[in-house]
Amino acid sequence: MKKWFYKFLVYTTLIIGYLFLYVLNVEEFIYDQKDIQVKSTVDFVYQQF
Amino acid sequence: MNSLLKHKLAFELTAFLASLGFIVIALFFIFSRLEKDQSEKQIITLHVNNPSPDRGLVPNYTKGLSSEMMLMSSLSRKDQLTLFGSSEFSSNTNSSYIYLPEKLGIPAMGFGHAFHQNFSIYCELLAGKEYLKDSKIVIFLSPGWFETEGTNSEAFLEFVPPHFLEKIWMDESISTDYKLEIGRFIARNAEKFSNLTLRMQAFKTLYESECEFNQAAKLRTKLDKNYPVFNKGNKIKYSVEGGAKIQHRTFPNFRKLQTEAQTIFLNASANNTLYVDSLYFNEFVLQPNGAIKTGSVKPIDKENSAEYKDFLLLLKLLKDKEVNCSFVIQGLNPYYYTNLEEINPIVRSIVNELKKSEFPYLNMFTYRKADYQPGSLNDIMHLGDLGWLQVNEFIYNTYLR
Amino acid sequence: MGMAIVLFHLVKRFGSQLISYRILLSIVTLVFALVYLPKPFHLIGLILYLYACLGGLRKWYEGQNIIFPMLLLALPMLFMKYFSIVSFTDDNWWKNTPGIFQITGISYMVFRAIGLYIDERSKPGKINFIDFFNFASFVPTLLIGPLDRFHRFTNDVKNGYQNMTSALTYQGWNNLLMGLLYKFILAEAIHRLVLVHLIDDGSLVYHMSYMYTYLLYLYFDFAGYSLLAIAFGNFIGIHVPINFDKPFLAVNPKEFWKKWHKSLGDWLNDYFFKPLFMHFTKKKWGTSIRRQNSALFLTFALMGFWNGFELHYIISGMLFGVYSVIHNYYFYQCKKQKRDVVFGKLNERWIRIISIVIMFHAVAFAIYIFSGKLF
Repeated sequence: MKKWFYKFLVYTTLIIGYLFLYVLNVEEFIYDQKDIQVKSTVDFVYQQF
Repeated sequence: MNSLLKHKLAFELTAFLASLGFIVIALFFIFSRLEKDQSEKQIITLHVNNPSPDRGLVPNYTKGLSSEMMLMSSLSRKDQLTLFGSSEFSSNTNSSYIYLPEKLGIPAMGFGHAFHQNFSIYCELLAGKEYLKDSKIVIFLSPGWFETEGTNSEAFLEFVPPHFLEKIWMDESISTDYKLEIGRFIARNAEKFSNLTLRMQAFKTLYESECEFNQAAKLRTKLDKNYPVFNKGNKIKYSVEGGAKIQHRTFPNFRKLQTEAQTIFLNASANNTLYVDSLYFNEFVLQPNGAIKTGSVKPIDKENSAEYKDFLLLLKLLKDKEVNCSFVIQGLNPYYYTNLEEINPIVRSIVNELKKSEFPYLNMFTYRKADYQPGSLNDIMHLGDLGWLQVNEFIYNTYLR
Repeated sequence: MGMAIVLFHLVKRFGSQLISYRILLSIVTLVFALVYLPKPFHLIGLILYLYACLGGLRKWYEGQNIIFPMLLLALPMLFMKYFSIVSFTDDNWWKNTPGIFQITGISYMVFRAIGLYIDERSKPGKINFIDFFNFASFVPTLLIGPLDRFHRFTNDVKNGYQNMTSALTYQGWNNLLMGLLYKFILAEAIHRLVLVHLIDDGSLVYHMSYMYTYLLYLYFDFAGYSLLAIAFGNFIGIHVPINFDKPFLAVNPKEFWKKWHKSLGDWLNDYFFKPLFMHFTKKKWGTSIRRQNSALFLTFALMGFWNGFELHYIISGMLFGVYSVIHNYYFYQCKKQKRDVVFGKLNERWIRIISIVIMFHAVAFAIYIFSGKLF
């Protein structure tokens, strides 16, 4: 029974984890996004030529 | 199948099904209590105290709300011209957004600097969607845009600020097709951003749900559509103000002004036969060993050109929203560039599309030296006084005649 | 990977007489390398180099010293580590050289080759190229291990189809579930919900929070990946050795390295520590405890260099070396004085708990240095 319950927990954590992390992106509900600064990782330098 | 294996299979299956059942029941219970009505979303009105001007140049929207408001106000004023361009926009006194208001009493504002290209303009217009009908817009296309891989990530951040993205996302009257294009851009360029905001992520998820095999994105999009708690954000409205009307002044003798400008330019470019300004020639074209630098262009395959696809997308939006739009196709200096005929096909394609869409245009591109008017460009690619005056004449004829 | 597993089972069912397991494995590995890896021909080149060196050493090298063969086999890896810290700014013909050595899994392949050489050097005959290719480039363990042993692996391959039993498949399924849970749920949650949101204000609280969080993240990510590699190996009949086994319950460094990245610990023990200790013993350098401690420290310093030539990897490795030396000396003193010189007559259960806590914090600090966050 203990092993079965442990397996049940593993499956439940996997499914809930998938839903929270990959479907809902749960961090957007936990953290305030107001101050997020986005930058380009590539510097595009304007050149005459 | 032996009995041990059967036992193990049963063990796994029951644990899995019990887990699934538990989660389904929990979700059913939670979702039955969630609000479904999206129409109650709060509207946030954005306002600035100083009235928006009717002349000048706004290079990008990094200064925040004041610069965003200038764009929205310009689009909303039916008497004002909104000009979109890139590196040719400068403080030349003949630039349309200075010349037209000061000399002809026509309110006009310019928006953009280098790397401001079709996709950025598309996003800005979507953000000001409610003002587009009959809005007077002039877009300065540069053939140089089509040599790039489309709008870059840095430009996207400068020209599509968070308020624009938020406004577009929360506007239910903007079709999903238009939003998908933004999602596609963000998804394709995700690695070129240090991180994604909530809104950028939402656009990316929308794109992945429709166009890629991504079950998580599909689920999330369904939740966003049906439950406000997952679709965080507020509807945005810009509080725009009316502006100056067109003050009819004496029609200038453009031809005389253009001839004078050309004469002045020929004097200022006397040290070379490439028809570039003398100072520019000495600094960028003349080599230390006395040789003269030349340039070349790569032929552009429009089927594989991201910028060309963005151009067609922009045309679709302009047509759809019945924008009073015109185009200026800028030229390149055929004395400097040795093979401009290579990009003539793409310019012809652009002209054909403009004709099909019935948008007025001024084509300043030529690959033939004989057809090139010295002074239309100040250097190898940027408009000179003659060029600006030609543009101003075109704008006057298009909108005021 | 899924398609490969199905293919193996289909061939086992319908075509095991037509194509041997080892040939099938090499074909699948080659196809994977050509389709999915960024530099497949560099990988093949590396395997050919290692095989040629092994062949040459087995045929012509008669010395007992294993340093020269180790260095010869490790040469590509040494270049790779060197070029990762040196940048080429001049526009010379050799500016693209670094790229040649940046090959997926190079560190692990070199260590496998070295292990193979040492294990098989006393056995006559040639090493079959297909066997070597399968061993060196086994896809599930290519990137970050676990490190297997040639003899054990080749035996598994010999019994390939017979090993593909429902029992091993079921074991693989359990490993797959745990691997997915560890890597894609727990490590992902720790990283996205905690680690990236820690604010670097330079305070002690920040450093300690980062230290413990990073340790947990690294554990779940690394252990998860290892479990996935073991699972995929199990599905195709290979008993990939376990790599992590409740490492945070270790009471001392020796036990820790039997529980954390076990395959690396075993490799270092068998192919570096033991030969080095025997060499020091033959040369009669100092006392036995001094020889042991020197060999221990150098072994872990090597591990640091193997991770990379950056300072944080080297210092972290040396720190683990210091931990092992301290514990070894403590153990030596306990034996000598026939009593526990630190805990005295304290209850065994309490000794265990205190040891686990000390070990956990010591590891957390060393891994924090390893992370490169401090310098």
